[in-house]
Amino acid sequence: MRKRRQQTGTAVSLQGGAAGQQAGAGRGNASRQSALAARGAHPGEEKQGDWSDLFSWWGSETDEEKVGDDDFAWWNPWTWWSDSSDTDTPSIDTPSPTIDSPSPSVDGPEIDTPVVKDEEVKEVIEEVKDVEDNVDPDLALRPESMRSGQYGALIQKSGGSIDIKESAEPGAAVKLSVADGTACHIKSINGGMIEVAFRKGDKEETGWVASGLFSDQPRLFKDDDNADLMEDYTWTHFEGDQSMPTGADGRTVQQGGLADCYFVAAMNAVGMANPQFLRESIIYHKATGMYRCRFYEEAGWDYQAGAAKTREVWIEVDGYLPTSGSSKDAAYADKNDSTVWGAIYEKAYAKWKGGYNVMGDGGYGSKAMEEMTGNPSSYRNTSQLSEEEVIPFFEKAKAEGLAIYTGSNSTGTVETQTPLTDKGDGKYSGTVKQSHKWNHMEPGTVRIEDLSGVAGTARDTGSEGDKKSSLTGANVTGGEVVYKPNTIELELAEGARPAADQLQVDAEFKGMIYPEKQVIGWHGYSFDKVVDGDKVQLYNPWGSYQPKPLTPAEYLANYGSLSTAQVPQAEGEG
Amino acid sequence: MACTVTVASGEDVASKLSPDAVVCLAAGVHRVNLDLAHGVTLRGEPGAVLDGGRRGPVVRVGANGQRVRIEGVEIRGGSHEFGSGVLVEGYSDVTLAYCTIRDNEQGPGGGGGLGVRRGRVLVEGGTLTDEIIVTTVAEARFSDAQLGTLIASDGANVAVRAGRVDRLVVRGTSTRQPQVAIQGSEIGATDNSGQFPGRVIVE
Repeated sequence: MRKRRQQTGTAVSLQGGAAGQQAGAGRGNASRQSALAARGAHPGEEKQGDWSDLFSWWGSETDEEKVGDDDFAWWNPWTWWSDSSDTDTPSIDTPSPTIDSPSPSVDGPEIDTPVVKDEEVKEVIEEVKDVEDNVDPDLALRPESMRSGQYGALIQKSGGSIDIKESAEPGAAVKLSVADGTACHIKSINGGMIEVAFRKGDKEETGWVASGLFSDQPRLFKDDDNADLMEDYTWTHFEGDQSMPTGADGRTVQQGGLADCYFVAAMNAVGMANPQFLRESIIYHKATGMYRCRFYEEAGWDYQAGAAKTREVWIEVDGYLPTSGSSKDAAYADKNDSTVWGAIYEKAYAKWKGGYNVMGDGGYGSKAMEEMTGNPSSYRNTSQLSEEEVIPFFEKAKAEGLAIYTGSNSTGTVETQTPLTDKGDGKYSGTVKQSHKWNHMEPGTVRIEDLSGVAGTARDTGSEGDKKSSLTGANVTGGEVVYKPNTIELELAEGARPAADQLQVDAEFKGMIYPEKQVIGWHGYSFDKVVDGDKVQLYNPWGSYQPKPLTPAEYLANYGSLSTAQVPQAEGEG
Repeated sequence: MACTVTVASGEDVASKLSPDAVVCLAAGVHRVNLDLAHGVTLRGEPGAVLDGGRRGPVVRVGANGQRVRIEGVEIRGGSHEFGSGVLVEGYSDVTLAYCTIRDNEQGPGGGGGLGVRRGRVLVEGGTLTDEIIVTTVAEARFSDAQLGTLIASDGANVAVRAGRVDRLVVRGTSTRQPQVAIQGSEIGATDNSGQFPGRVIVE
């Protein structure tokens, strides 16, 4: 799902583990033994007993306890380490402290405080108090407790710069200064001081600050050029009530520099279907300046009701948002009207999911709608729709007040060209013309056919994510495809060298897959309305590059997924 | 169980899927985007391929309370936001036995090979080269399988026995964490370093 300015990332990248100080590793082992003992297993027996149980829930065709139509009995193989018998999490391989409670705040590891003289203690207290006086608890969300590995920002009331110290010792020298609102994460804790890691230029620095400066903020997205660093954004406070104003609907938020079109399009969809419901999902508390945002979490199957269970999740965030450079515009979701309610809601979702780096690498719109409404999405594969069914489907869904989300296909129409020129000695080269400046060839789809039949077919050997690859074919002796600039270098064996205009190239493209109507590939959209009685008008979460009204045939050719969700009645409604 | 129907390559598979049918797939490519509404067994003869033609998930199980078994097939050519090869988002039991899942498109939501967010999935043997995501409230068991990247997130319960996982990624949310148990499996690399780690036990 495209960011507005960059291509999306793909899978989660492997990152180094947080250098957390895990005080509980030994306790984890012992507690696992106690969990097993509670179940009746002895340490020596665990290899046999545990695993047969873990897999015994899978019955065979002759299993008399086969699932029936009305009784879908789930067996939970994990009860042997349920929380009721285990007060310490058995987390042998967890590199950073695990969390036993729903709250992410866990007290940091205890570290013996070095013996210091009274005057030194007094100096530390005064230094911390001086810092705390500059902390405005009404603006920045302060965690109830801290742990190593926790992400946040350094924020103080007075603004300006924040001094980073060389050590936690009283009177330690200033190592350097950082801007107020600098993103960071905690490396260690020593009394009232914390060691933090933060970005300075193009590298990571560390140093010590008073713990009172630390504010609970989601981890930023990773830097495109260096995945070990967070993006170089600063946390800036957005004054006043930024919740969704009366009269606004889901379209008053637009996607920013995060690949979360699925989430913003879901906001658009839910907010268009029932703006009041979404308005009530973001509550501003004037007294504290904090926001509470509502989502829903699926919790399993209710056999009595014959339906999925969900529960409300309320996430608290402050009014600080990431901003880029000197611009005070929100770097991620931004306003399309008067307030940054969408960015606040996006921030709460990021906090819930573990950071912008988690939610900002693509997602699933159908699921996002469920998490906003608490109702299951109804899915349709558009390949199962006929052209005649498209308009009635959308009209009916709209009339029923459903939130409607649809995702475009990944690639556009295969293009056929003869772009290569003969360089002599069996070498050919050229650039495949793009139908749009954003487009690039899709690895694994490039094919070069010799229309004269002499050289046969050459294909690229690339796969998803490759920047370039080689060519292969019966008469191919060398060559390379570089996908983003769409260039091809081909070398053919002697005796199999046709005229260049006989070499026909085709490939699939990603990017603007249907330039005629501005349809972007692998992008999430919401449904707006039917136009002229026979065309589909979708809404782009970018707030711009709106696709032109699509005929049913165009819609089916370019969109693969379609989901609808019922939006609950708002409390403010009759 | 014996086949109740056999489908040759090129024939319409979807039309043969009556409830609880045992459908044997002949060798060759079967172009499908199946959205299974009831229990069924799909059994592939050697060389049977289910190809999604990049028109959605190859197999989707969205129904509740069903039992689906797919065995001995190659699943490829899927393209979807989440779960391009096999997508499980119903409270059903799904078994993938001795299947190869590869060359499915990795969508923005991930899980290009297998995406599971509800229900229970058992993977017995086979090779799943494309990414696997088990999330939300889903449960998955992998036995003697060769896996590429396996992601356990949110409130998922996952167990892996024997076989191999090239890369294991575990991440929770602020409200719950996944649980992963590994026994006798070769794990290439593990990433449990997110803001909300999961529970991982390795024997």
